[in-house]
Amino acid sequence: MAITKEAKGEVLVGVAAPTPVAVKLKRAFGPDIDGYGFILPALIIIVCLLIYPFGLALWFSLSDAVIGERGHWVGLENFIYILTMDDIFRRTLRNTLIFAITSVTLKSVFGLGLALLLQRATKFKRFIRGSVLIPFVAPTGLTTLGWWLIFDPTYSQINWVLKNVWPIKLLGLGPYHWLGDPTLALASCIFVNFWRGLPFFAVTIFAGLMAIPQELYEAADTEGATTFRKFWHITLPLLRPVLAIVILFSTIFTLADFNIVYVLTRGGPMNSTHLFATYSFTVGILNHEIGLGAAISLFLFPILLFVVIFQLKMIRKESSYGV
Amino acid sequence: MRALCDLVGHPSSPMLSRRALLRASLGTSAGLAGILLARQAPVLAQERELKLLTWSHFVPASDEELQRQLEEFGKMAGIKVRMDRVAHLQIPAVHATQVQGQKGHDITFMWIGEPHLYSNHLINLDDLVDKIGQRAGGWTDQVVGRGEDGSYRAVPWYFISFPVAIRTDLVAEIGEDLPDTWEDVHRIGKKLKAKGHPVGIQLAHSFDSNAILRGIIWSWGGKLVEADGKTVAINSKETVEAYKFIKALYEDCMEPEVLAWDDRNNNVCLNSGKCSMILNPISAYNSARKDNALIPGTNIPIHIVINHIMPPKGPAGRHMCAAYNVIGIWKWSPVQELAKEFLDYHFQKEQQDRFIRASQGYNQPFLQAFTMHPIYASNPKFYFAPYIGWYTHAPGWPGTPTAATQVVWDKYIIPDTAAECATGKLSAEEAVKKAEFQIKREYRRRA
Repeated sequence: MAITKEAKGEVLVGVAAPTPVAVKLKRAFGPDIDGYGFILPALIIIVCLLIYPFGLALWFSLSDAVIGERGHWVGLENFIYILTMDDIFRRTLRNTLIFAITSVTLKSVFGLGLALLLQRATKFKRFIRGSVLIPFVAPTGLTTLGWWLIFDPTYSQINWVLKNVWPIKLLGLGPYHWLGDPTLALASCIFVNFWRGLPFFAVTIFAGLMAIPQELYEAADTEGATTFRKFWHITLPLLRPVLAIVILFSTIFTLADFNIVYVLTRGGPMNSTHLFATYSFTVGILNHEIGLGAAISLFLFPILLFVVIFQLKMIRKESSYGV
Repeated sequence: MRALCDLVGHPSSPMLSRRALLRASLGTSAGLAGILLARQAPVLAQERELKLLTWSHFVPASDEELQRQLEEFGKMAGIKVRMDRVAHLQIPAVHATQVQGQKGHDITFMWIGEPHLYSNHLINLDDLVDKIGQRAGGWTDQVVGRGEDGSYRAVPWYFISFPVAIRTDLVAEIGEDLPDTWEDVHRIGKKLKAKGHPVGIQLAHSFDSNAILRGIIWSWGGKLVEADGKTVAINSKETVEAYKFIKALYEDCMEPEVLAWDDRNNNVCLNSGKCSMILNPISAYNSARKDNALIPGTNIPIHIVINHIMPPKGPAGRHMCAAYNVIGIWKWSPVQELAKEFLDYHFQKEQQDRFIRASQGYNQPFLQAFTMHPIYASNPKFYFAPYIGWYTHAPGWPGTPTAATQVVWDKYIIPDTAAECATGKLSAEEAVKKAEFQIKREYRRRA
């Protein structure tokens, strides 16, 4: 059916003739001027809650600002202090890298294993898949408080098991000061992060596994391929794009983790378990040096940027695998 | 969708024209921008309300009484009231965010150094402090509550002292008397640790750790700053000796768990029957009594065998730090006069009496009229309370507290360096030198 121009305008657009102001605006911004109006609320939120705070953090990091007082420009003094004089910062940098690399590696390996197990579970599969997600969906603060009780300095439940439960007690292990020993305290934080993040890996990888065509495995079976070779030559290559995305997200979240360390150790003992987020909060808010705190937190930015660029490059490379 | 249609004036049509959506979008943007720029809720959302922030008290009945007084005052004044409680170690974070945003509660609980730290953000309370003092026979301390300019920026509220809470039965079992000196604590503690009952003093980021370790340093003749409150003086032979003693105490009488303790753990350790002695306010004893905790393996309530004794003496005498708490009013409060009226009401004789009783004597008053409160004679285990003030000093002693005093406290410089010394990470000399470097930096920055 033929539709006239006028009819088109009435049916599809339904607006009156544009005013002169609208015409001028359209000339300035192009024909899709309405689009700017639609995104304006989101833009204001992004500017106010993202760009403005980032700019403010940048200014703070270059000033000697303390809580409640306007700071003065000090250039790179905060960064120089952190790098040359602050041994806790150096420890924090080391902790952050150990924390992120160990935790993400553990989550990747065990997440893949758990996903393969989930694929094999045929009975009660909905219940099992739902249960696996519990650590991930439960509030982090709450679950970490549970772990804090398990690692309690005086009455650790793990130590109780090591001492009282047969046959474990025969090994004569413990008691361990889970949160009092710097190495064990960091290991405890890594473990809790691993425990919490594992379901995210498992479920996402599981979704990736379900997307692999069964025909490939059938073809491999007819060729007499072993389980390991099927995994190595079919499963793993086809999972790589999913793995890359999961690792990217997890690395970002793990590097910026706050809750777990803050609830479990508050950076202790002797400031030995701080991550960037907890240390910058401690220095900037609890210790009132908001300028120095901002400078510490900004150190995370180039690290995250590097991780994101590296991972995105990997993903682009991987996405061309099947083409 | 229907709600959105109603909003933009198309109640009957599920269709939404682009112009209408655009108008709604721009309106929302303008509203959002207005609220964010003005940093003020729309007038309709504003209500006259008095908001009080306090720490989550170790004796909950104290908070309940404060809440009751606030509500009663609210009824009399015809306003809404709200009391929020925050874990004490989180108080600095709450204050910092409120000061930075210039928004928050009207009245707030504070540590002794905070009126200095936030002098510019608290109203002057000279008249109120005078009025309350005159009514109750004066103040026991002339420093607490003052800000950087010497005027009162907060009303002295109460202090929380640190006696030794000790298991008398365990000490008797090894044939010793109750300790009078730190050397006694070391000797007795060593014997009791061997029997599975260590001493419990935090070497961690906790209030108790900050207070007790300062007490030990002072008892050895060391000090963080000179009497002028400006010259950093921690690096001395006396402080080094104090650090060496802390190391010996940790190695011989304590367990590494103290490195991860907060202010709750030592109470738990004593009341569960494990620890032989801790330095703590009377909250541990009160909890044991309230919960009727038993000595493990017996039917004997443990509070019967817990007693409080004065803080131990060191080579330079008996000295201990305490929690000096004050209460102030923020400048941003829209109800400053009401807030002052509430404080006036709270410090009246009847209300103070009920407040001290509710806390079981935990809240030790700065007002002369209440120092010998009858509650301290009601239980022989509280006998120390009216006299412990003789040996108790505020952080910053022998100088007066300053903003730097508070920052050094909040940074846990003493607990961290003492822990590093105790665990052998640093020698006593190195630990003291490290503390000196950090403290000097804070005093320089806050000069």
